[in-house]
Amino acid sequence: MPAILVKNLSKKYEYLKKEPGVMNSLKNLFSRKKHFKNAVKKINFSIEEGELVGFLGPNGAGKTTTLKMLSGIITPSSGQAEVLGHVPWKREPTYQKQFAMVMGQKNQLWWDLPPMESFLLNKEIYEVDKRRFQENLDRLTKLLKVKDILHKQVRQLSLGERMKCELISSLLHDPKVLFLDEPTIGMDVVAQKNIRDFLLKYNQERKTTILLTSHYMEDIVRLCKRIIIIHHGTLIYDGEVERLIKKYAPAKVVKVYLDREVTREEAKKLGEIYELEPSLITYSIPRKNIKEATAKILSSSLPVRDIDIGEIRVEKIIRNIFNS
Amino acid sequence: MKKYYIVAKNNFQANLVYRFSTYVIFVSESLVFLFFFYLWSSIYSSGQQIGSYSLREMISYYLVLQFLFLTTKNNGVSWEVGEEIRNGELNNNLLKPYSYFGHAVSRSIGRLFFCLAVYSLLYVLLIAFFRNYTNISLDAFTVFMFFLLAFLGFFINILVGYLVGLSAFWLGIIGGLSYAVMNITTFLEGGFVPLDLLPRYLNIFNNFLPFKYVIFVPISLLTKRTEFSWELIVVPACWIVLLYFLAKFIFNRGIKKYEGFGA
Repeated sequence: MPAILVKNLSKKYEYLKKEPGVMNSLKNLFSRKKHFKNAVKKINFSIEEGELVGFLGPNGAGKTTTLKMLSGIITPSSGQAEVLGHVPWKREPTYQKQFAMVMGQKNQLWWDLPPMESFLLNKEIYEVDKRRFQENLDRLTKLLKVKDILHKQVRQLSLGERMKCELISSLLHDPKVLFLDEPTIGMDVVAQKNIRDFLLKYNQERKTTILLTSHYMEDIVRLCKRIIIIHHGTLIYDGEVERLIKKYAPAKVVKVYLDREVTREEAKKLGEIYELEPSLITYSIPRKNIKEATAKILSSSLPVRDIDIGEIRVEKIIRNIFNS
Repeated sequence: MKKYYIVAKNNFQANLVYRFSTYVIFVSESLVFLFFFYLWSSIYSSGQQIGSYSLREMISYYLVLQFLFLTTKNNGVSWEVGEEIRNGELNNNLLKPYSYFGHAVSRSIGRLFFCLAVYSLLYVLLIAFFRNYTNISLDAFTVFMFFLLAFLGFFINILVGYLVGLSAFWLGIIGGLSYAVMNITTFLEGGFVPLDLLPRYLNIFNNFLPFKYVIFVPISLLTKRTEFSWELIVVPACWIVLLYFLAKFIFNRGIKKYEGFGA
């Protein structure tokens, strides 16, 4: 039996439209028009136990809405879902004790108190016994290297530190399923990498089923074997990351920061230009050629100040899927 | 149950973080009481009587009233619940195996005990200092029953606030409603003037509502204007049960509309 099973799941939101301005606000006091938005449209997928699946899509694609339905926060408009054999939106305690959700933009820790107080609260909420709590806490703090901040007020922690504490707090009860909503959002590169390394290791060691949303391609490529892409509420890709990359993202993006402006002619010699700004050239370079291409760039006559290699943006991948 | 105890304890601790606001309240409360003290003294000095209240009784009423405002009435339940629904923080609770109502109540209890611990000292001092001008019972049984009644009143107040907060499921923002409800209930509780100074028909109407048990009844007991009877405990207790089931019903209705925005 799959850990997560989703069948024809849909969510329609109701919202009110308001034109800008005070007069329109006053008008709104008396008459309002209801509008509907189909945030998620009849999606289907299933995830096996122990899988680490990436859920990718641009902002507003329906990622978070899907996670909210799977975690039982909201009830879908139609369709079915089962997680660990439970219907999430019934919010049965037996289900709630077996999963956790971490949201990058939301704080679940007690703001004015040190994280340890929130951990102790979760210990009681999830009825974790003393020994298991201590073991998990020791293991997680060691893995995430946060021992020295457990007794500092949450509001005084950095974003990266706080996210690490959020992760600890939601893993203390050994969830079988973990939903992660943009866990690396707003973090610097080093902090992002730390979180990623941790998740990879955690998934390998504990065989926890993880569904991770992100709009950073980088997150998904580093962590997941399988990827699901959602766009305007519809699934447009479900399959291996490797295949996706081969087919729709065969090139990486190499950004070259320059000390002075260069002409398009000058820049063109070194590879296919993706974007050209006054002192920044963005090349699109096939994965297999990255090493030699960057070497070539660095040894060229271009006044290179810095170089940065990354994945292409998710919007571009989606465009490629539609164009093919 | 222990999880709710920890929520209460954490809230107690979180309140201790901001010490300055505690100091400010110490000073401002004393000033407000002095203001009332001189106001009533000057009103009564022309020899007039207000209703059945003597000067002593009037000063006592407002002294205990201030204490209740600072303790059992001092909760932001409607605002907290309304905001948590509006900005999606309710999500945190829906994910976990514990009740949101239990969370909201234990948080308020944490604050109540913080306020009792801190402000009781101030009121012990005020009562001792003004003992010749007030009429407050120091009999152990009466004081105990006063706290019991005030505690029941606290629950009525919390439940009403919680219900107002839940209206955010439908209204989005509860500001207007919360303000109106707060003013009307405070009036009906006896929070502006003693209820026995109001016209008779208003009191008959008020007898069918739970509000007088929040402020007026506990004060009347402590200032020796009412004799203790079991009715004073049974009636508010029934109201609490009734309001609890109403709150449960409304929550279950509202949660179906909830969209968990802001996350």
